[in-house]
Amino acid sequence: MDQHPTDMNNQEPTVPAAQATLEQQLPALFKYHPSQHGVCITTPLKYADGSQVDVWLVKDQFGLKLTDHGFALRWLELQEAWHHTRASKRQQLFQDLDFCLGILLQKGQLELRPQPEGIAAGVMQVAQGIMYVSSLYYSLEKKKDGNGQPVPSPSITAVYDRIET
Amino acid sequence: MTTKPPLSAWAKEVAQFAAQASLRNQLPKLFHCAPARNGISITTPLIADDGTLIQVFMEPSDPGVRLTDYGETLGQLELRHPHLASNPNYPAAVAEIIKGLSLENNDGCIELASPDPEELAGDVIRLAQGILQLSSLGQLIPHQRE
Repeated sequence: MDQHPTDMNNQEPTVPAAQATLEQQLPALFKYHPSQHGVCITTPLKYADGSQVDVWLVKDQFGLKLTDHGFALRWLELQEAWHHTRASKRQQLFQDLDFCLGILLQKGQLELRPQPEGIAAGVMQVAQGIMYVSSLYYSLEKKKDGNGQPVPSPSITAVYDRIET
Repeated sequence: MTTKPPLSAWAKEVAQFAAQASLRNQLPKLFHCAPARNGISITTPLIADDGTLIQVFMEPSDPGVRLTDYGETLGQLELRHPHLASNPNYPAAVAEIIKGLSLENNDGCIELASPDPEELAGDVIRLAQGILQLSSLGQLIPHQRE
């Protein structure tokens, strides 16, 4: 029988029940499907436009690699205001990725090389890195429409359409 | 027109490795529950910009339970980055993040009221993502020029 943090009688949540609930539900939040170069892992984290963050697990001559295939930066580059951001500011923001999360920015792609026992943590790190890059969207001056409302950001699917994985 | 080649053997090997051996076993171990205040703290693997792991709190509510940050996110943010208070982009960015993730701002507490027990893990991650994005605003929103 499933354990929930509270039962139907509104009992107070307990630590074991909450932990059991999380352990039961968490794996189902991550979806896996093969892609051309490995496995695409769809995480429950989301871009600013509501799209779910994907992380790819691939293998090359150096071993396992987690990457975003460059989608986060491409998505950001679709935001017109990003092109008005100073290069030095961009550089500083991307240095934080390496310093805080241990993620490298290689040729426009976020990359992390996980140990086999640390793949799940690595997936969360890269997903967080993708979120971090997409969060730069919130620092941008948004283009306004005729009514003074911010123009919606281009969807990540617009980027997917441009890049084959 | 180009066509994609079929999956190579190593790609299938990686797929099998990922699906069967690691992620499903490792993921739940990244989230830790402990007693806290009136309920439970849930420590997530997401890392705030000050290097700490992001926590969300769960406490009994009527009905069900409530997920909250107890106001720590915006409180700490405005304490560490006082320049935000005078930046007109700040309230708009806070509102956009909260709305985008369907969260609530109750007097500075970022919350999810009465989450569905069947979707607790997803709600925990959603609130943690909101806390993460809000806490990064201090770095993202620049000081206004004099």
